Amino acid sequence: MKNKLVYILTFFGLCLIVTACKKKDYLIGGDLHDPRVNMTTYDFLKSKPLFDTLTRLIDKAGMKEEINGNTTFFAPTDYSVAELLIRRTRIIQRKYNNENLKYTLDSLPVPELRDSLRSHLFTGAINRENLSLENKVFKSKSNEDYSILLIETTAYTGTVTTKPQYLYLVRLRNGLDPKPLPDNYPDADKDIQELTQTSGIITTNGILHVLNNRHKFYW
Amino acid sequence: MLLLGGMLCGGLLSCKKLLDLKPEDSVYEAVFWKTETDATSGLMGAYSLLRKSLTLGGQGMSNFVYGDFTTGVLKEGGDYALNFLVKGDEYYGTGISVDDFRGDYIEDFQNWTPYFKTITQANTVIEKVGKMPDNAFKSLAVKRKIIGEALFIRAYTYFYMVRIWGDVPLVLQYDQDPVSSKNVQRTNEAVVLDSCAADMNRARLLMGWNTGSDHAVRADKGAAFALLAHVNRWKYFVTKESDKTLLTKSIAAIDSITASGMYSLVPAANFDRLFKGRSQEGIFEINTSADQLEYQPNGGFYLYTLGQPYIPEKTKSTVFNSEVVGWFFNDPTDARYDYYFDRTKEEDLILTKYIGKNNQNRFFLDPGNNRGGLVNCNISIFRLAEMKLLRAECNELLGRSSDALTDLNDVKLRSNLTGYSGADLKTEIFEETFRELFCEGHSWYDMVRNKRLVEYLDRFPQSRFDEEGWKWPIARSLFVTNKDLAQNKYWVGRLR
Repeated sequence: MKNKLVYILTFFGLCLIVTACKKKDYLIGGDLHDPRVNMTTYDFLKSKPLFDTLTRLIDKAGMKEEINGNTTFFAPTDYSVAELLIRRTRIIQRKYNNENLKYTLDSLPVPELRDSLRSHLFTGAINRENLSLENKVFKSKSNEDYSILLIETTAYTGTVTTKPQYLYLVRLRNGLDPKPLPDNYPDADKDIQELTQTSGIITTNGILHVLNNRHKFYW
Repeated sequence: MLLLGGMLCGGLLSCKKLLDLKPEDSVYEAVFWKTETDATSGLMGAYSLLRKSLTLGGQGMSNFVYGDFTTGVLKEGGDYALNFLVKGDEYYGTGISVDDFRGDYIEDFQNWTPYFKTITQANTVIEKVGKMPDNAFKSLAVKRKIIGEALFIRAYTYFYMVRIWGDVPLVLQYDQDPVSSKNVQRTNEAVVLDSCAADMNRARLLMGWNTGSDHAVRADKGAAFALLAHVNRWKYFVTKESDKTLLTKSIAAIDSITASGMYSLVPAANFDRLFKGRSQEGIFEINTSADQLEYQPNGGFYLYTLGQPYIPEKTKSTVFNSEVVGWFFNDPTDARYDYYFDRTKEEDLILTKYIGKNNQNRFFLDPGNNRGGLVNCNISIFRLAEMKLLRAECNELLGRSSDALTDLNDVKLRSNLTGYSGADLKTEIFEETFRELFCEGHSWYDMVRNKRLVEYLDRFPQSRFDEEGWKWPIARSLFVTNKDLAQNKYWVGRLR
């Protein structure tokens, strides 16, 4: 009697082991990541609350068509725009010695705004496959030099053979920084490196990267 | 049966000799504290515990957590728990700024157990070395020096605790029987400071001035005087600024340091060597030198506040508050304006004070591949410029402006500035101290004792200062084992 029970239990156990992992979907977890969003760059930005101020600025500058061209756009988030307003508010308050003054979105002059948005905008598709760990210089639509490159990171990873690579947009100041940097190289000439928090979103018209929240809009 | 009997007999007889042997290499009271090496090892244990107590917490940098994260110079702490100190209760938006010292996971910093470990070790060294015969040492001076250093470690640890918690239990005796030790109540902070001063007045006679490889990294006469100066200045503050003789004592101690001729200000061109440690300016430092394979591989303040391009492959998570930094560093001709910070991004300054503007104090664990970058700097506790500014502060409080101005200008001139000629000497000394000791683990205490918290820190109302809310709360876990403790009054009913 006792032996029989053991056999029956073992049989059921084996059945469980054989059948349990059948559904392979469980291992994959739904579908593969798809970088394509079936929208234009502008529409995609409009659909995310993180960019509602940015889309207002694009409207104000009348640059919707330009952004929806064959372009790569490095989108600053609302945080970057808010920081700009805080900074400008501080400047005018100090200048006129009046703490009630406020710099608002309406105070931004349109030509300046256009220039600044164009300094985040590049012709053609620039994505990870065209980039490497070395600097690659591109001209922005504002006709300034930028380097776009990938940099390896050790953050959030342990011992791995292939390190994750972050995508950076680098504003060149007085030419590309020499490598290695000479001693006492002036800070004002050092290139400004900005990390993208999301990279390689493929829209119907081009590529969209999102800059980190601490990026200084207007550089 | 016979076999079993035989085995039992064997068990009884066979191991006798083996059991009689002394355990090799083990440390226990009956065999330890015999030679000079034993005494030195015991002392080094105390130094080790002292260093550990200053590098506590998840990021291994409690000295800077207490001293700098609390001062408003940061905008982003880069760590959930530390952000309570940086942003106050922004997480909750309650508008009551009390969530800094009691934030989630902050309890590590409310607990004084690590400091009492240091004190227990120091007490043991003082007692045991004191009872060792003089002929166990190369010379009597060695024995005296070891006791002096242990006194310094004990007094510095008490002073450190008083600045954080105020009253603390005062234990000055070696405890022979820790198992049955009694609970101890907190002793008034002024009495604890008196004990520190008494220890230092004893220690300064036991120790000489260190030169060579022991300079600045082992306590000497200079360190004793420096601590004496600080203890008296802090006592002047906690006794409601009633006894001006404390200030004169403080000044006298610093006079002994400057008169010794053992120290000199390091020129601004050699700032990298000053912050690396063991310079002619250093009085006492915690040794974390990579030259001796002593470093913090995955933590420490210096590394924590850095990232690309200074440390390759590392993303920086802290952000300094450029506006607050700008209040203090507003003169580009100041050598520190340029040396302390990388100003590539004005909104996101990088603290280059320690690693050096040209990476002078950086080293790699894997130099071939430029991987595992670390910062090779000691943790400065006392240095000459700091002493001069403290003396200026005391002289100003006594109304001796010209003496105060001399010391202030010495420090200013070193950083290529001209002498001060404005009207508000008091504020200038405070701000110069803040500038000079920026992110050296001092600023919070400078703000407290000069009563500048309300003025310079948005989230610190006057009422909190009046209730001594600058003191840290005592961790609740400590009340479990010691029911005779009382909480600091500001935090009664406020701990979550």
